[in-house]
Amino acid sequence: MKKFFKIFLIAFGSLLGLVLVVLAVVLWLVFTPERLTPIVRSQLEQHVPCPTEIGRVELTFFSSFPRFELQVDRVAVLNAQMAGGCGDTLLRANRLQAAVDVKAFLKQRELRLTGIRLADGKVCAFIDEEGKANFDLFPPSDDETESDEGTDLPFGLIDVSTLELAHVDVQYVDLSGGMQAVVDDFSAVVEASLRPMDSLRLHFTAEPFAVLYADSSLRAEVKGLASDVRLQLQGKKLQAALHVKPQAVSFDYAGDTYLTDAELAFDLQTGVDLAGLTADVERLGLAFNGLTVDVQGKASLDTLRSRVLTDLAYRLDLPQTERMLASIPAAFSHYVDGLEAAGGVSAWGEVKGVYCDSLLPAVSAHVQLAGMSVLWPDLLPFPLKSVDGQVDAYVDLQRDDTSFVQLKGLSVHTPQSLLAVSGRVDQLFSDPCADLAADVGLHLPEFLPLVPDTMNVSGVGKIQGRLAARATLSQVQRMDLNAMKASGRLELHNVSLGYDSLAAVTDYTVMDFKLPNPDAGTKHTGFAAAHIHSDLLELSLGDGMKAGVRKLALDLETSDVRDTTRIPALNLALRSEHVQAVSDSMSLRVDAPVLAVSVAPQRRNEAQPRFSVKVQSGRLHAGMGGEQLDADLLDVAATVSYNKKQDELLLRWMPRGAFLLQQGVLTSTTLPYPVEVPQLKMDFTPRTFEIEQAAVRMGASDFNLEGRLTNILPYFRGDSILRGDFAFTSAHTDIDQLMSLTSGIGTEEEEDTPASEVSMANQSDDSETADTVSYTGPYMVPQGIDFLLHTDIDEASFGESLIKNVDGDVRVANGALVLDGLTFSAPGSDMQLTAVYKTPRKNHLYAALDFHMLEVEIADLLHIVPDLDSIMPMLRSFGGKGEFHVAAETYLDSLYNLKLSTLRGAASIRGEELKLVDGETFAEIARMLRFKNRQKENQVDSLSAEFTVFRNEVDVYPFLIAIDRYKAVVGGRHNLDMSFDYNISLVESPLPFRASVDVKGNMDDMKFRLAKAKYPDFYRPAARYEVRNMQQELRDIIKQSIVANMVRKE
Amino acid sequence: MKKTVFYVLTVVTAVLFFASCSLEEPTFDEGLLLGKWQQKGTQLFYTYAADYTGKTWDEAEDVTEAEAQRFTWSLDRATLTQIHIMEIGGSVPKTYTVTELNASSLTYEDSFGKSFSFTKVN
Repeated sequence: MKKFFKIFLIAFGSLLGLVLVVLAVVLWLVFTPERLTPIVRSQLEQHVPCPTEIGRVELTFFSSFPRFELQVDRVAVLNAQMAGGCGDTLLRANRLQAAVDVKAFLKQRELRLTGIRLADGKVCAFIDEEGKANFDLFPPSDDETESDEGTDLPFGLIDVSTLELAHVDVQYVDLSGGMQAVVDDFSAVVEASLRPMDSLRLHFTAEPFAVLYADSSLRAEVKGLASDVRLQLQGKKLQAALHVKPQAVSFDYAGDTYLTDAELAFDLQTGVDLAGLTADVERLGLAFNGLTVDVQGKASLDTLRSRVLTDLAYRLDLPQTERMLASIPAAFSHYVDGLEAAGGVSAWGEVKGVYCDSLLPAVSAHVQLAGMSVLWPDLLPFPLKSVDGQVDAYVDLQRDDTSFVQLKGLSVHTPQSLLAVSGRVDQLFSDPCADLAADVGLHLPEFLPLVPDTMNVSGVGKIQGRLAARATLSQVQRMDLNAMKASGRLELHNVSLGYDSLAAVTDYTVMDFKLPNPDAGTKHTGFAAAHIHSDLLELSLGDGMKAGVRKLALDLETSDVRDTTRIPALNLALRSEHVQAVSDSMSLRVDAPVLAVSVAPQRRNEAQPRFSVKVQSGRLHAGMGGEQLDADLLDVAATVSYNKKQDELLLRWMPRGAFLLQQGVLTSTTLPYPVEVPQLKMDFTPRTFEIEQAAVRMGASDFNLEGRLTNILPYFRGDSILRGDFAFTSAHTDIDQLMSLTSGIGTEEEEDTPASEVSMANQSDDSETADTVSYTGPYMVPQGIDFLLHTDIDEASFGESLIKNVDGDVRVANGALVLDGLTFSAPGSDMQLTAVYKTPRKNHLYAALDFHMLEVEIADLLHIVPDLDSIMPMLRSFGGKGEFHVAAETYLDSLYNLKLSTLRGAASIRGEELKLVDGETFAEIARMLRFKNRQKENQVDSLSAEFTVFRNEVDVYPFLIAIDRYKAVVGGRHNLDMSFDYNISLVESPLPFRASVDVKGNMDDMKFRLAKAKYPDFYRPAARYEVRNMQQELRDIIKQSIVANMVRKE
Repeated sequence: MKKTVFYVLTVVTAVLFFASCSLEEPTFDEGLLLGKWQQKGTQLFYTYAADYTGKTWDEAEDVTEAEAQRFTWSLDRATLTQIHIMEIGGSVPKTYTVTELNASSLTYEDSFGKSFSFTKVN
């Protein structure tokens, strides 16, 4: 056996030695470069239709044992007819070499190529303007429809264990398309093996190289492009690993630069089941200028249903936002010009589900912001610091109910402000519903630069609080505030806001609001509620108006006031410790004001509003110009029904309620004295004012008014006059003051009455009050009213007259002032007065009186009614007490001058035991009639006379007077020019004849003469003549007509 | 004594003189009175209606006819009585003796010899 092996080894060694010798001989003697190179050149010339260059061709075996290796130096393929950027060179390589595993080829028919290497090469592809390429060397094949079908590999395995390109430049120029591509210094190693339908293995490694592509509008350049690609196919299983190392990418398009040396890297490790069309991504990584994206998971393709099933997890990190900002192309950088951002953003989540034409997988995302900062002066005047928080999202297009976005503590700080938001958004695809809450701490000066300078807004202070809202997108779009929910609380600390000339200042104010209102006081006010509390709130408008509220508490609840189809409902309650407001001409100060206002639809007519107002206050002061009102207490409660169809103010706003004012003082420039109102208490309805007590002190007057003012509503409707029925009680009343107060109410101004400009003061200079009360015309009685005053006045002054115990009715009715049966006491007499004063127009004033005085001293009578002396001057001649009745009327012009043509009067005077006190006149008469007693004061037993006034004529009807031993009848006429014509006829005397005296002339020139007795038979029962009867009838007419209205006191 | 006798004789003479018979009073047709009359030289107006009412006003004192004051009247022979009625109550009678009354003119005088002349106006 050993021998056999010995022989076999010897034989085999001999054979091997022989082969080696043969190979050595062949390689060194036959396939020497000198011999082989011409052969290859010859073959190239035969098969390549263009010039080629080969420097040296060498075949080695021993140095590459057990493989044959072919090395070709200085290879070049030229196309002299097409000269491009590289001249006529199409392909050039400094060295080209390859090795073949002869053993595998001979025994296993496997083509194992190793050591394929192209070094220091250059490829220049060129297409001229006409589209002719320098690499189009071969004529078109006759069989262009060559099919790949039935093409089988001639080898069981093609294994390219190593394909190496070292330092190869590639240049591609297409002048017809305006395109150029350049690859510089490309070095790569490819290791691959392919077993048909069974196995593939590929490993591609490229050293950093540069790629440039450019055409007419696009330029792309990649520097340092290096990659490592591994592919391995085993049956239907494919493993792939792709690693593209970070490189610098530049990209220009249409003249704009989009990327400049951007750092881009890519990693992929995945396994693919080609049978199941499933990819198991172990890692998919992408990096771009600091932004990294990592994906893991599975994805499978369902070809039957044309869909992809995904189950992927991803993560995105951007630790340096500033790098991403720097990557924004210049073409777009102006959009973020000035923006500076720092900090990191991370996001991770999953993509899970089906992807097809109609479906998208569900995506979950968690975005984490950590310490970001943003500075963008053009947009925000302040930097954003410490932007922190997390945003979670889950998006499933098939499940709107499970999709959401959730904010977790998303907070933003500025140097002095804070905004933190948290919440959740659901129903992302149907009607997104946001439920958000925000905590704010705003330093106002930081935000002022956001407001245009033209608005002239200023502000200092800080606002802190929390806001919460829940609303859907559709609700926001429709502004459906009824469906939204919102609430919040804001605290204002030392805030001062200014807008143009309007300014508001508060040291501390809290505002709470809720939408909707969960604690609505009425069924209509569930829309919103707000509460405001302020320690001090001051408002100002320029220098002209300032208002301040101290310790303000305001509660408001309301309906949706935007709904113009319904009457809004509102409840407002305001309380304060003190309110004050001052403007140029107005001022208001109120202590402890309480205001409650509510608005609601009317019960019987929901289309019209009903207002309810309650006002209470402590001390208050209100002033406007010279008008001022002060009071210790004000309490008003009222409801007002609004009717917009009415034009008149009161008809449109119909009030009902109660009013109480205590210790009020009204001061007015139109009044020479303040009006004090110790208490004013009344109830009011649209029809009636019920004055329970109206105590007033004005100057020298004081009175209390109680009663009812009715017909208010019909009065304003024009259906009726205003009626009042009051009890007027007073300790002292200055009638002049009251007349000046009420003059002209309800009277339309007449422009054609120049006399109206004359002051009333000129007419009564002696009046104490007239010195200060200026009239613009005569006293005009208010129109359209019917006021009845039941007076009970202890003392009243009118002019210089003072009367007491005034009792009776005073009526002001439709332009007429009536003193109806007024009884009062004046010095020397009890009196009854009925007087009428009407003012149909300013220059036509009606005055009438029905005056009765009982037991009045004649002298007092003339003092009380001084004008009577002009009408009946003979009264001055009588002394003692009498009974006086007079009725008179006249019209006056605007200066109160008598219109004599309208003067009418009738008077009756009766006296017992009167005296004639006019000594001079009486002495002359007594002398002529031979009176026995010629004393200056002569007793008149009785006097009963009637006289009338008609225009300027005073007719004294014959009356009997008994003096001394005489009875005489006196009658005559007295004119208002003070001339007179009297006759005194003796009807009983010691004389034997009927003596008579005529008294004519005037007071300065009085003439007496004996004359025929004009009334010889008057008062003589035996003589009844027609004339006497007629005179007596006239006297009866006069007497009865004027005493008919008198009511005698028991 | 002489003076006394003189006065007595004077009075007696006068009484006898004035006690003479009076003239018969003329009678005027009250129908002629109806209508509107204006006092001569003035703007004072009177109207007399058939129902024995009337009214008077003076436009010189800015009084219009609508603002005129009322009276009642009667004409008995030559005696014209006007009773002016005050709104407040009370009456003022005025008696005149008509001396002329025709379709266009009216003149009367009072007991003190004061005469008033009017012209009929439409």
